[in-house]
Amino acid sequence: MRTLVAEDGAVARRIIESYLQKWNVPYVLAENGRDAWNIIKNDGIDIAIVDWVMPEMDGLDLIRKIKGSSAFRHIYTILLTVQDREDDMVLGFEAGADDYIVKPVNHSVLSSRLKAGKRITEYYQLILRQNKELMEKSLLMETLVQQKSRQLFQAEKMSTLGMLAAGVAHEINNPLTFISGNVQMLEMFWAEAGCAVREAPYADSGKAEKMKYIQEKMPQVIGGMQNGVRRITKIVQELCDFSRQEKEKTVLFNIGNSIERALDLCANRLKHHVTVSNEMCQDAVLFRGNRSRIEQAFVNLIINAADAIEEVGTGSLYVRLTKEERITIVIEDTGKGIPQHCIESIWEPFFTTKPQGKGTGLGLPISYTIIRNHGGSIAVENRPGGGARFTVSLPVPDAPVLELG
Amino acid sequence: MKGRLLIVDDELEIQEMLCNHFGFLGYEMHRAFNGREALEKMANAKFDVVISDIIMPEMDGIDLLRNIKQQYPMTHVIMITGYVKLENALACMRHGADTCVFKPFNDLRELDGAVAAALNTLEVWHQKLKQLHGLKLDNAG
Ligand SMILES: Nc1ncnc2c1ncn2[C@@H]1O[C@H](COP(=O)(O)OP(=O)(O)OP(=O)(O)O)[C@@H](O)[C@H]1O
Ligand SMILES: [Mg+2]
Repeated sequence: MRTLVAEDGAVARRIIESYLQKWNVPYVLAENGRDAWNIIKNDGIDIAIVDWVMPEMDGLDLIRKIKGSSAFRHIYTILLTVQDREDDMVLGFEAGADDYIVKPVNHSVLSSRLKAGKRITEYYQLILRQNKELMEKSLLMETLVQQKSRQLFQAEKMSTLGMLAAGVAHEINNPLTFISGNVQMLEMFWAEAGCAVREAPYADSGKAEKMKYIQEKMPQVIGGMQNGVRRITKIVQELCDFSRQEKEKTVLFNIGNSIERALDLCANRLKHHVTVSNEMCQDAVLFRGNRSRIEQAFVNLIINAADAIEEVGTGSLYVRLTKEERITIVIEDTGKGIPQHCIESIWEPFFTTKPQGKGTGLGLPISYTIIRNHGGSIAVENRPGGGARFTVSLPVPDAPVLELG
Repeated sequence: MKGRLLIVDDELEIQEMLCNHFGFLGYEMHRAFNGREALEKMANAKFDVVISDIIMPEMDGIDLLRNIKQQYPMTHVIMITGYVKLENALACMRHGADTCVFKPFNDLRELDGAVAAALNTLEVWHQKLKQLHGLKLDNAG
């Protein structure tokens, strides 16, 4: 407890100083109110013993100043007074003094008053400290709650969407089936009838011209329809994948191998413009889950990286696998990166910045759902040097490792 | 006539499409909207191959498949489904379907192949029986 003694009388000051020395209390001396205030401002004081009557600034003013500033309010102040009168005491307390001692200062009175001051100051500091901790904790809780509720909201939305997607996919699949079948039949019929249409004798040359045109264009017409069918089929397939949340058979497998398989599957999309480098954990990292679904999640991320790199020409893809408390897979690219205002939206189903027919906007929500269903999480950020970084975190399987799937 | 086919699907357009397609290939076509109607038709006439959807009102495709295999073991059944689920595919297999083809049929030749294979098998049996008994059996076997 660093103690300040503000006393203009040399004798009284000397007496108090000797006591403090004897009790080993660290102290500072001041001869008037203004010096005392300067010391307080610079010197980290816990307890101030302040004489009432002093030059420059008297004790009451000094105490008012201390108690009036939020930075020093915590200093425990003891007022020294000669007049043992009730009015004065009241005046002192009203100015903010915490205690008072009547002069001449008695050895044991000073000792017990200082002890009381020390105790109260310690409590006060403890409360301050705990308050601060509480504040920090509640802040932490608040961000945690926010984060969790956002995750919950997202998960909820995904599962509702999943059900919706399954329904929509099923509804679209039937009409798609007869469109597709009829187009195929049209193609077959045309293969039979097309020649006859052209070769038939037409009296009218305009008619013959038209028939020639039809003969020429028909393959394009049919091809266009088939192209549409293929695209719808892909979307329906992706919607089904997205909604498939049934518990599938889980096995224990080497996740490093899965990453390599995913890279192999994407080889065609990578080989022209992407340099791939991977950094795999030395030991085999095992994970329990649905292997092909996990691989699909990686494939989606890798394809996205390939697309992002394509937009800037050429670049690199880094894949890193590490295992500590959790299994972490980092997939980062030197592609075009994600504009800051899109960074939340990319997880939304059907959000895409790719041209019509190229992106459906389901890759990331599918990956998100797969990773989540495996107790993991997935985060995105832009790399400082440009490009995007996706970090997948998965729980380490808890059972002892015996089988291998 | 190459063979008698029964198409079972609750979607009229799909019935029609498949009937047109297989009709063009030379099969005799019949159709039903659900399992119950299909069994009624089968009680009155013989069919070589039944092509049936799985999810249908009244009687679903798996039930129909079970019934056919009990009552008409010689009839081949090809399942078609838009709702691809492992458990559906397993049920088809377990109850003796020839195969299971997923919608949309972006390549109808898969279905053509399955029908041709079924009729081929029937034809082989037909020949065997003919040899054994020296009998003249009608085409429906
Ligand atoms: N590595 C990346 N770098 C830059 N942008 C990305 C990256 N990954 C995703 N994105 C952005 O997020 C959007 C959504 O991605 P998502 O995989 O969900 O759909 P998609 O790739 O557009 O279509 P799909 O995957 O269905 O073919 C992309 O269109 C793109 O704008
Ligand atoms: Mg994608």
